[in-house]
Amino acid sequence: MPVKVVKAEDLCVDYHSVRVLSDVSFTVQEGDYIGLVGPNGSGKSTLIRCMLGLARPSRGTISFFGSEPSAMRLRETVGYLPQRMDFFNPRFPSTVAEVVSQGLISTRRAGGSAGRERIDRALEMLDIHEIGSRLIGELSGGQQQKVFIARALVNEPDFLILDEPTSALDPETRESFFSLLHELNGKRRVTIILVTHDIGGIGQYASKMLYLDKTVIFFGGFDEFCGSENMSRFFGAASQHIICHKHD
Amino acid sequence: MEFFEFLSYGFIKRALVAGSLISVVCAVLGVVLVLRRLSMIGDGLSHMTFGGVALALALNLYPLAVSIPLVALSSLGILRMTERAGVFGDAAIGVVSSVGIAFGVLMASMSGGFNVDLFSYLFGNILSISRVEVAISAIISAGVLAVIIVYYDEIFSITFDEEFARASGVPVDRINALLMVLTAITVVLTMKVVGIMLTSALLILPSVTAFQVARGFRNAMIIAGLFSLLALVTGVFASFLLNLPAGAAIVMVNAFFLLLSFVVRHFMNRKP
Repeated sequence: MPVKVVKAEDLCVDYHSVRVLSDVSFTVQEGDYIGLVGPNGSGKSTLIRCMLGLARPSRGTISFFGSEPSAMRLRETVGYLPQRMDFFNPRFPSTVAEVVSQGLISTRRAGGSAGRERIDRALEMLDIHEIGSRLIGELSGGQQQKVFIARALVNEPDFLILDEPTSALDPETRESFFSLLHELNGKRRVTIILVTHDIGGIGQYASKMLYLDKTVIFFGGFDEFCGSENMSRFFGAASQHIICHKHD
Repeated sequence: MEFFEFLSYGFIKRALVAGSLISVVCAVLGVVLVLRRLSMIGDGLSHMTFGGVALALALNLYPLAVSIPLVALSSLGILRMTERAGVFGDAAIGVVSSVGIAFGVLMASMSGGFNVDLFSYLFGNILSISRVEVAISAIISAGVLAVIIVYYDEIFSITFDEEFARASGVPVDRINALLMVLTAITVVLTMKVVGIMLTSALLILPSVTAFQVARGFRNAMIIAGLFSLLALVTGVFASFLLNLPAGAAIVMVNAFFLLLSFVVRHFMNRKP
């Protein structure tokens, strides 16, 4: 029987008395590769914040491997890429390796040779090993995005939460990034939730779709989503052909 | 006068030992504070230190014993105002700063006006530092540095990306409170070195100098500490030789290093 990674039941979240998520229920199982889609302001990032224990539900529950999302030991198994990259000061005197080492903080292995080896592996995985000693503020937007992806992968997570990871990547890098996720999902059974508007990327690899607009509009297999009117509603009728074709 | 002769005086030795430790701690903490856009917290807390010293002198108590808890509580007040009450950080610092000064003036007025002791705390006098003050400075500075070393990964993580740190399970609120209390204690210690009026200079100048040339966060902390130490020794030496106020001399040397770092950075950027 597949392990339940995330289970949300009647989840509601309010910000300043405004309901941003309403009666959200779904279950993510081990090995799922879920495309999380929805219009701007539909509550995608709030849902992710709930999963990470950064936002509290007003009603309902969300559990992580059967426990509260804030449970410390669970953080070691999760890799997270936030949506915005402008959260840091571009003149922050931090090297790429230092930024990536932040991903090891939950495992308390940021220092020492084991930590350095993991950082090197993550940098190699993203093909940015040669910029490990550069300052983060010196890099282009695309390179910075790769660094934050490396930070999400450095602790070799079992569950990856990626909030619009390809927004600053060029087409070639985007392709290789999706291939890397496909490999992690296929070979290592890494469970992935990917928030994206990148229709090509979703169509090619995701096994399930979660369409959110304050509540769950659709949650199910990709093939089922492909033929549904939800697909046209979100992506437009013309894109249906592109996505479904790629997935085939 | 030879350098070794300068070092033979007891009051110089005490000034250098206590001043070196405090200046290094200030610089290392300053790196974190400046990057978190809390540069002016030194000013706010030093003004509250003025209130604490005035209260202690009015009650005939030891100034450090009154100032440290009062300023530590004020630093937690700043944190509480920003995190819970939604007050902007600079506004919260401004509140504590103005209340501290007003409280100090009231205390001084009620106890018969400003006296020599209060002025010595306002402008500092590192050359008059006592053995007991050296011991207290050494113990507290070593403690602050030890805490920073032990929690280095957490402090870096929170400084760079607080939300990611929180998502990774770092106890952000506890570490923030710890940093605030450490800053408060350091600010109180610094009043003897450069005086209440110039405390924030020791927090800000070495770190801004380090940012011009540092290649990494750890690197910035080390460089800031070294610049601060060098400025302290040079400032004390200059003050003794030229009969200048030590606090002001130390700050001016720090300012010179900052100017120098701008020049170095300019030439570093010109390299192909």
